[in-house]
Amino acid sequence: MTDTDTYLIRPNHQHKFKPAIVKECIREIVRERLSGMQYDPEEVPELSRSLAETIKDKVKQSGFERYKLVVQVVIGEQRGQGVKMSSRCLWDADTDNYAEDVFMNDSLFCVVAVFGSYYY
Amino acid sequence: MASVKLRASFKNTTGSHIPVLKVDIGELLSLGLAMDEYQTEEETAFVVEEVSKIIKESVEATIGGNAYQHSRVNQWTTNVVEQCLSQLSKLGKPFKYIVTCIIMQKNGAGLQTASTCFWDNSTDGTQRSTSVTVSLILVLGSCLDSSSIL
Repeated sequence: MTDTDTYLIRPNHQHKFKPAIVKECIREIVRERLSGMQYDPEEVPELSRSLAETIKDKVKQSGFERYKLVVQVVIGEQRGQGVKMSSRCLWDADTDNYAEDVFMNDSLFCVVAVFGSYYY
Repeated sequence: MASVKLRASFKNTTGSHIPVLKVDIGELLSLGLAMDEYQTEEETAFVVEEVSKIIKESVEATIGGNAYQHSRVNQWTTNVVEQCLSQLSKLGKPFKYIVTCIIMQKNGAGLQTASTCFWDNSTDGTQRSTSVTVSLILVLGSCLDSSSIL
């Protein structure tokens, strides 16, 4: 039979969601955009939205086809308050993964989490 | 006697020889060879109300009206998220879930969250809930990715 069935229901090892690569993506973009920035309540909504879009586009270009992406960006002001962020996922641990990074300077902190879920 | 056409092929592209049989579910159903257990569109769609309810209940059960306590906040985030996830998985839908929770002490600082997703709008969705008490702010978000192998 020479039917050209190439529908993959599991990613090849090269095409798996690689947390290390994505973390590097996130780190570059966040450091470039946020170094030296102060927390400004007017700008921050737009900043966090555009940061999320930029990171999503960058990760898409890194070659994770067949992966659905969820990018979360949290930017908060540094005023000595306590904050805790946690997440749980119900997914296929073999194919799905996530990457996260935290950036802090004197006036703000930024947490980015990218979740990748394989689309069967 | 009913006969169904099957197509077979051997995948050679990745070096693994897995025989793949393709069958048309519709044909099987019409021949009465398959039970109509494949879930309907309504049952597998993302239902916003159910998810909001689950989120609200988990938050109230775990934190109630408590004040922010640094020693307990670890436990709270874990509990809220795990409870949410177990309730969501009990719904029995063919979904993958991602649940995130942020608890922040209220002291006048600003917090902004944003999220963007690359998925299928018809099957996937997100729900977020924010609760603010006297001493803490809680933001809980859950994303659902439908994954059905067909």
